[in-house]
Amino acid sequence: MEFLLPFLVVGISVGAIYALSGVGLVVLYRASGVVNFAYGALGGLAAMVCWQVIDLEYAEWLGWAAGIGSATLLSWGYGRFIAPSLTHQDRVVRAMATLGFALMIMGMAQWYWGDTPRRLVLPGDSLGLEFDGRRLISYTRVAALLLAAGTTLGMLWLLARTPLGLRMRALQSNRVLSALAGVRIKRVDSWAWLLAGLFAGVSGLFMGNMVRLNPTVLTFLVIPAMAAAMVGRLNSLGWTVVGGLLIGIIEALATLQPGLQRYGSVTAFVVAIVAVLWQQRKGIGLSRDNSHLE
Amino acid sequence: MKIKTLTGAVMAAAGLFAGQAMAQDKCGMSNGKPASGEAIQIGAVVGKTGPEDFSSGARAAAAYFKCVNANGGINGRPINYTVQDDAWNPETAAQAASKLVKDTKVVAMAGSSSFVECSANNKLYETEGVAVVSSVGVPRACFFGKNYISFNAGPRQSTVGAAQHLVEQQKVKSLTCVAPGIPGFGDWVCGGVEAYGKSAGVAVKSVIFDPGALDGNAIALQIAAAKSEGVVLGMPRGMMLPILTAAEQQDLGKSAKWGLPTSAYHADMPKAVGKYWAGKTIVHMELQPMDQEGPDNSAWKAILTKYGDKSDPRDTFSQAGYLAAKATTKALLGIKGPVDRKSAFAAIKSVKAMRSDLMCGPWYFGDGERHQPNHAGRAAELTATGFKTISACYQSKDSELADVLSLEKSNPALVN
Repeated sequence: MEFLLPFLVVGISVGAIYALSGVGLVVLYRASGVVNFAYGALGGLAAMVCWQVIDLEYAEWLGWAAGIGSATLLSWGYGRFIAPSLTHQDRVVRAMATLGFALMIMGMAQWYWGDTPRRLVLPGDSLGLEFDGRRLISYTRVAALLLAAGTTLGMLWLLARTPLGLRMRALQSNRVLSALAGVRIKRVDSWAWLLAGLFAGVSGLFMGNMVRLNPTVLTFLVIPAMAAAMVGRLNSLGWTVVGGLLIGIIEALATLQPGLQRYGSVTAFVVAIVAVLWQQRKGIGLSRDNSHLE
Repeated sequence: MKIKTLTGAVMAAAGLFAGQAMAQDKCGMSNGKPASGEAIQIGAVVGKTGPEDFSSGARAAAAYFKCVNANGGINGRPINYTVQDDAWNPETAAQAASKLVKDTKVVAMAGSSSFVECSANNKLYETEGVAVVSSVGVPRACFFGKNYISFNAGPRQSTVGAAQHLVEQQKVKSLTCVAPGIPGFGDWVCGGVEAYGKSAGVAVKSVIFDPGALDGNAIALQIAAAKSEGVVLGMPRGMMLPILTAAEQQDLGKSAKWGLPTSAYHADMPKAVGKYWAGKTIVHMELQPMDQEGPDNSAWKAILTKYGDKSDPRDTFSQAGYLAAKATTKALLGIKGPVDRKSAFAAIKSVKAMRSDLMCGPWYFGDGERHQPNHAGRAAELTATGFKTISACYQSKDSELADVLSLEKSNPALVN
């Protein structure tokens, strides 16, 4: 068991970022009914912009702000100016539009920054918690874990206790009736896109540090995030967090098993499929909870 | 007065000629006359888009061919160089090669570098009689094709080379080899290190990981669990970075010595990995250090500056691309009569004992069933700002080279 502990800790820390990303997807889906495939690309852009600012020898905090800010701004811009024109389209069309948005961001970022080896260093990288005489987990990963937990709780509070959360929940229940009741749909949607961009920016910075500072690689962060969101049926923040952590832990533990160690990246797909099958066993699926979004 | 004027004129003319000679490009016919007429088709397949941009060799080859075209071409005819991207996809690689061989009707391929094209296209090249002088061969199939030859030593030899240095110079007694589970790559690369370890009496553990896995930390944990005195990473540099980052976060540079293959020999790598790894890591170089002088090293840099793009990487694979284009050009220039696929193949096949300051040993094509003439390299230490060469050329002790060495022994004309 002691041997497993480091792998569990590492799995949880990466799973926390998957969870954070999944929460970003769920919040947007609940408010606007859009599955955002551009989530990973926005995160990748945030990481690259952050690296660029720091590389130009500006203060680190400015780099983080610029990175997160660029993803937030771009996401908000999409939600404010492009998404409204697709409101009456089918849900699949709206999702595919975000895929186009993702490819555009990824292509531009890849073109601009290319494939030169780079690394995004965060302040907690070189210090961490020790176990058995050696460093077990860096403070960067501890920060990711705390941030994921804090953000999820914050979002639960926002949805339950604030006027914006109330409007988001109203849109989730019925967009037409909400509009008739005076909820300003565009404004609420814009807030949801802004929050999604913020989450994408933060996740992107952590993933750019932990995984690989490459816009194409980071674009695929959306896969485990989407799988985590599927565990939460694109609805439950709590289950989304569980899904994210589960994927991270299984991926890490798979590296211990010689037969499985080269297939760890399949975990997200397996978890998503199992979750969907489990949810379907009594006819509980996305269609029931979200039919109002059509 | 007249004598003084004449002397001055002669000196000015001599200076002008000397200046022209100094500015003269060192490529092809080097005559400064632009080539014209019907183009000679040459192609390349590279893995540009995908997990990593692997087009450095072809970019250097393209610069070289531009230089050739500006300097007389192939006996007056220009080269039309077409590079296709296989996107790291075997099906795309097969389509790309088919297009070049059957539609564009290339006379030869030069400067290719790909993770997937050798397995996908070796048979096509053999059937169609196309010689492929690639810059960088990656998986095993690139060194086991009858018509396919590379200028690099290959990831297996380079990883074994790094392991050799750690064992023989830094005296490590146990090793962990880490490589991605790409078919024909990971097991092959670490298999080489395992075989070397067995012959050297060093215990070797292999960690083959999922190349699609996002987190390097789980891999770093496996490295830590292996508790070896040395670690070698056999993979492209993009995959190394997350592992090195995670290893740094676990302070694994303190407990083991680290060795990297030539893919890590890139000008931006020291900055990318950070100061932590300075003095803790060695890199095996398949070709000459970039900062050294020498006719080919200087010409490679000058041609990239004049005919390449500022963004073209300056790395070992680029040097290999330069050499691939140079060898192909030299072979084509030697053809008496029409330049077609058959004559190009015969000319390339006849190249033997080609020497360059960029390589440790001679390069040849020959009649072998497979080709791997580059099997020696050097080691460099990663410093905070760059690389410091720490060894002279040394031969690879890769067990798979037995047939190549035996061929060279039985046919000394290939290497002398």
